[in-house]
Amino acid sequence: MAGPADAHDRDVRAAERFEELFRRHHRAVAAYARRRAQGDTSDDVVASTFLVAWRRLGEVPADSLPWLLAVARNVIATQQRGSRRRGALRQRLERADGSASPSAAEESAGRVAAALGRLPETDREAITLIAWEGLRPGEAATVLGQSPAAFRVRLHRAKRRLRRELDRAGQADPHPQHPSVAKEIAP
Amino acid sequence: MTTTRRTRDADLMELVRGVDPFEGDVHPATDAAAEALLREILAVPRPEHSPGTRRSRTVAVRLAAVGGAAAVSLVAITAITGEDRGGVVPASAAVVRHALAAAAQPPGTILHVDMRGTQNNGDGTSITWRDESWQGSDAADDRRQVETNPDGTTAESANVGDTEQVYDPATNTIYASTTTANSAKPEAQRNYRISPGPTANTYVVRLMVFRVAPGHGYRIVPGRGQKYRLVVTASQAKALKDRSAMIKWVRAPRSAATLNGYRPAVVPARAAAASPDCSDFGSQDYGDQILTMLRSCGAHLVGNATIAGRDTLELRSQDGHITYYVDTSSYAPVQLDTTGTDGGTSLRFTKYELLPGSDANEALLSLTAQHPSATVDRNQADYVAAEKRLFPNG
Repeated sequence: MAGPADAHDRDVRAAERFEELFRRHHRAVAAYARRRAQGDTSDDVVASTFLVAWRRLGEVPADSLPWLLAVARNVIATQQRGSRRRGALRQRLERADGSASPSAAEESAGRVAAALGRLPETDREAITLIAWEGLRPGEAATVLGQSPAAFRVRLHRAKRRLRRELDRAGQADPHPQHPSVAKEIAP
Repeated sequence: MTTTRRTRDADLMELVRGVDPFEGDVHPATDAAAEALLREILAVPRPEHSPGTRRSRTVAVRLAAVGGAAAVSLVAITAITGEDRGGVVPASAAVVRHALAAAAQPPGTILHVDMRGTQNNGDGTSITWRDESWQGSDAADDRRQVETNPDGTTAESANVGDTEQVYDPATNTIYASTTTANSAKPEAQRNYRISPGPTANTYVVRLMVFRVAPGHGYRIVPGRGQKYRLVVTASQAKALKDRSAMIKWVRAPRSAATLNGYRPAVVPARAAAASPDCSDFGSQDYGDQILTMLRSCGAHLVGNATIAGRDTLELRSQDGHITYYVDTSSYAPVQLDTTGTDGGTSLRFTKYELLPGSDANEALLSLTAQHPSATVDRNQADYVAAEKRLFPNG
């Protein structure tokens, strides 16, 4: 029968593993939360994510970042369902289109951001998990709870939709496009 | 996929990266806030988890102090997480581990401690003292200490190898003991000496240097203290010599043979090492007390406390006899309280720092280095007389 000493050793090992997990991934989880959570709630998202990890440490896989981001994503979704608010990222991206007197670079960035904001949430997430979080497709698939094959299809479609949105934005734009944007979105 | 498509894909993703709202440093206060969050989470009990018992409830935890890692609100996190802990924050292995690391002395360093002690004798009286010491890690006995008595007088002594020294400022003389220990291990050399006893097959263990300090035990202070005799059998003496046994202070009814309800006893070293008696620290000094408490006495986190204006984490032994406060940021010792049936002792550490083992710092361990003009007297009788004169209270 396990005694107090065994329990203590187990606690120590768990704490060590969690601390290593926390130190390795805190910044990535914080970045993910800051990009997507409402204003000052990102700290809550990070704290809740790691608290879940602490409580379910036995379930955290060796490749732990996708697992953590999946938890963070769920925390944000729950948060936003509760407050009936629109996603912070989408709001932020849509606002990016409305700046006054933008420079050409800002204007092109604003168009990209706005186009991204008009994508369905899952498409946007597929793209930003790769572009912003730096995940590999297999890892991003884990975050979204999809198979790698399904994720690749989603990512392909998401990119196509983004190009379409950028095309549409370019046609509707009375101002000339920033050269780099014009080049990149050329069919 | 064509090269053109791959290029276009890469460029598209580069465009998206260009609108990353948090490119670069994510959060200026991340490091400090992260440390605070880590400690808060580690203080939360982790349930024994088995598959299929997932909690569906999402728990929100707000940082107690973003950007101020020192302020950790365990009380707040207790309330937020809604865990029933029976009113006590349970063991936090990580905090204990941090405290252990902060109290341990790495090789090649010098531990500098400035400590104020208060001993409640349990009879309405108490004594206080201040002890500033420098302890080397490489040689267990290299240590210098300056003790300030309640009347303000100071007494300075040192242990160099297996000899003891005291410094008399009145004569600017360092009195060095010429007696050296035999083959016993260092702490045994410090603590007792074995000689033939009054009758056949008996030996006398002379506990060389100790002073009553903790409320339920004794603290060895090398270089001074009351002498104590213990008559043991030949087999016990042999066991002490071959290190299979050790002297341990155990509770005993008050009598002429006890000190504050304790008496020394010969106990098997293995048993003592395997399961230390956490209600009786025996002859350990405070450094060993802290380590023993954290390692083997069911130390657990109780909560936060303010000690002399410092934010601390309060740790307590399983039996509640020992309470240990550590700094919330560095986990350095702040106060060690021990309570027993006859009173208690409180040791407050105003300084607990590790110094690098440089030549300049090594000099802190030496009386001769500190008093280079002092005469060194190696006459044993003079040493004994000086010890009695300079440490009249033991």
